[in-house]
Amino acid sequence: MAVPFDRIPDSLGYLVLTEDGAVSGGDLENKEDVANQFMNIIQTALRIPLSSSKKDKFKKLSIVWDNFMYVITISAHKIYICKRRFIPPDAAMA
Amino acid sequence: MANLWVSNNLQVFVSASIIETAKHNILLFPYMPQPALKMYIKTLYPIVKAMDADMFPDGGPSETDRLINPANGQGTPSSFRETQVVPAATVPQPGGGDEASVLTRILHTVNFIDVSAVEGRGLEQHEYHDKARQYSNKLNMVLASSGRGSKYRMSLPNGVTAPQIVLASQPVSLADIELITMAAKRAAAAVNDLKVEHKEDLVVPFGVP
Repeated sequence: MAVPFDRIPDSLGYLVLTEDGAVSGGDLENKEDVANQFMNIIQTALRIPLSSSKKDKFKKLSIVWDNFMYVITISAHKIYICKRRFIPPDAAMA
Repeated sequence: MANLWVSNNLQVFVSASIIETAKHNILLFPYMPQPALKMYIKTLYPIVKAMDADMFPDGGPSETDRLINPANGQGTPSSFRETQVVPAATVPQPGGGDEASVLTRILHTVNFIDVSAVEGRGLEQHEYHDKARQYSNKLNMVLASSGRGSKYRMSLPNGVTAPQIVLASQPVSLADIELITMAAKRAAAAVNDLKVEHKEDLVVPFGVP
């Protein structure tokens, strides 16, 4: 079941990682150092308690710069990372 | 008589000072061809002889006594007494013939043990894989039974059902970004402001008359 990354608007690339951090596909698959850094961030973020229940983990993790951002989510024991153009939602509404 | 161990891949700078301070009777030589080895033995033999005379005045373990009993693998049965001061190198004995015979005696009687000629007993491929599987199984069993094991494994949660919907959703609002940035800046500043308040000295000089 391939995730349709081309349906995502403003997508600049994507990356799929397994649980151990092995790259399993994507436009950005040759950037191994970036992938390792993502794994670090994700492991740390998974430890943040979101609520009193221990099983509540983040649904979406965004790393935002001026013009672009990385959006990260987890599904079916795989980590999906999408690099997208960042347009501040307030500016878009104005 | 001291045992001479010849090693193929050890570099030892043999100097008079080292021999004088050596408290045991094992000397290591780098591998060298026989003539050079003879030269070394020629210069060192008087010193070694003097060391032996000093260490075993009543004739201790002989040259051919094994250090380790091969049958039951126990350590050396007798302990070597330490010398206080190794006497300075004595003048080599005059008379070339005497030296030559002594040299040949050493070369023939001493058991040279070549440390480099070790035969490895390698594992076969399938044996290696079997062992690796056995060990990882045992590890998993132990880890699963102990409660703390899961803290280190940090397995991935199940997560969302439709990742593309989450990834394509609206990005984070500017207000949220501002909030997070301010909070992180303040936390970093607070951590940097940690100071140690000095109350009492840990080390106090005592006035000993």
